[in-house]
Amino acid sequence: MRAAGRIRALLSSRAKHPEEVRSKIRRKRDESERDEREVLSFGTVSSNMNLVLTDLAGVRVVVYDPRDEDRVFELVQRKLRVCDLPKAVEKKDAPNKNYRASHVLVAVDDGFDRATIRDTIVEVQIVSIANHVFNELEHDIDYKSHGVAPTPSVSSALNDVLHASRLLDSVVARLLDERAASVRDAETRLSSDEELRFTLERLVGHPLLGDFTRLFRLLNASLDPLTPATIRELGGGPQKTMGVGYAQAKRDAISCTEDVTAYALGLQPDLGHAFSAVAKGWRGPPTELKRAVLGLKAAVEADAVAELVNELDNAMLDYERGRSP
Amino acid sequence: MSPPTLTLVDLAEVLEANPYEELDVFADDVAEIRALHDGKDPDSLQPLGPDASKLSFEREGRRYVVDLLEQGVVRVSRGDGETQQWTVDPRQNQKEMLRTLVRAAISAAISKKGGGWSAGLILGLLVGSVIGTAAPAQSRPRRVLTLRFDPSSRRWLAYDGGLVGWMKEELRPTG
Repeated sequence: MRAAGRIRALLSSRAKHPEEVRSKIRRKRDESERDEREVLSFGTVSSNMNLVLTDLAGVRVVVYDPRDEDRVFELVQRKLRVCDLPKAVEKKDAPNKNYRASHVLVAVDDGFDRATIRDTIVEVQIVSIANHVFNELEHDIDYKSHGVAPTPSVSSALNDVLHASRLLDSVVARLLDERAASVRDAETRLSSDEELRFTLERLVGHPLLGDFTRLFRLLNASLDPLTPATIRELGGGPQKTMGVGYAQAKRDAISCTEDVTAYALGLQPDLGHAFSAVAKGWRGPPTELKRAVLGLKAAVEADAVAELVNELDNAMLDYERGRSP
Repeated sequence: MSPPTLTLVDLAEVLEANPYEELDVFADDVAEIRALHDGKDPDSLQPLGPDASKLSFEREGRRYVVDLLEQGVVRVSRGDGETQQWTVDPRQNQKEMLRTLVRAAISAAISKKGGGWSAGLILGLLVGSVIGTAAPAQSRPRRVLTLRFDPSSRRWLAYDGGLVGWMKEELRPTG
């Protein structure tokens, strides 16, 4: 079961204790007398033990993920011989009952090596670990009460356990989903600019602008592995990184109108060396991203040129003024 | 096999010029490793320790460590702390172990490159420090820089072409 479906589960089994067998037969006999059905005799019991007591042997499968209960339920029905009995397959989840589990009555295979056990009915119970805790406690209190009825405070505490077990089921499911997603994020390498864009936009929660093709080339050449988890962690996350990038662009007067440019600028402290080494090899007209990555120097030069032009303008004005009468 | 172009000097130079800790290249691209494969004994490469896969060389008074990985990779790092040279113990038959390893490494490198589709393309991967502290160390991302060697100018250039993903996986073998 574990190998087939990677289902995490605890398995336990038991044969019913002779004392429990005795009391159950006695109870069934009393019921049959009370209901005026055919009274349970020694002969009926000895010749049809399997039919009188369907839980002589029991196997319990306790799954961690509540969603695995249905998977195991189906697996048991598919792989084992289900008995031809009323209520051989039962999903116990009635809204008016607190007990939650799935039960299947299966018969030990004809090929089983111990002949005395062949065709014995085994009750397989499948239950989530949270429901198992509640079921066991409730069973102990309600059915093995030793003649002591539960006090209101015991009932109230049991009710709290019931709610906690329902909550635990949903929390376990969420935890396992989150864990699976984080493992997937850490192991799946981003292989295209589209995947990078999707990852970034998912993390910031809105569409982003910019040259993702070149951003992917920058990151792919400078990080290993490049995965969604890497992007999530890098620079404290994309949102923060872009904020840092926009602030740096403003401080250093770098043209930065696109999120991708801001993101690349925000990663300069970690990856600036690799970014500029890669961007130097890019052909074609310099884009905003390329100018930003190749950096401050270009901006400073642009500023210097602007300053020079300004000085020339002023000099020309002075010259014009000097010439005028 | 295509003629090898890289030398140990090329490896040391790019390591010195960049802020990274290691350089990974394919074993069959390194002339000295190919020389070992051909039965020669390049003077520049010396064994370092009892492990046949660890070698060292010097350039301009600085020592470098060469790790030869049987997955077909040569990993070069600065060996500032590695001052003691190992004395070869003939009983350990270290040279024969080294030649076996070289054969395996070169064969693995050629196999990784497939049927010569990357002929003439010499790739390298500079590997630096890990980034972040949240994940376990082995799964944290590292700073890297993917490189291509230009034989005509004997210069390393940053490489961001279509083989980046492949080379990162092949030059950083796990396990």
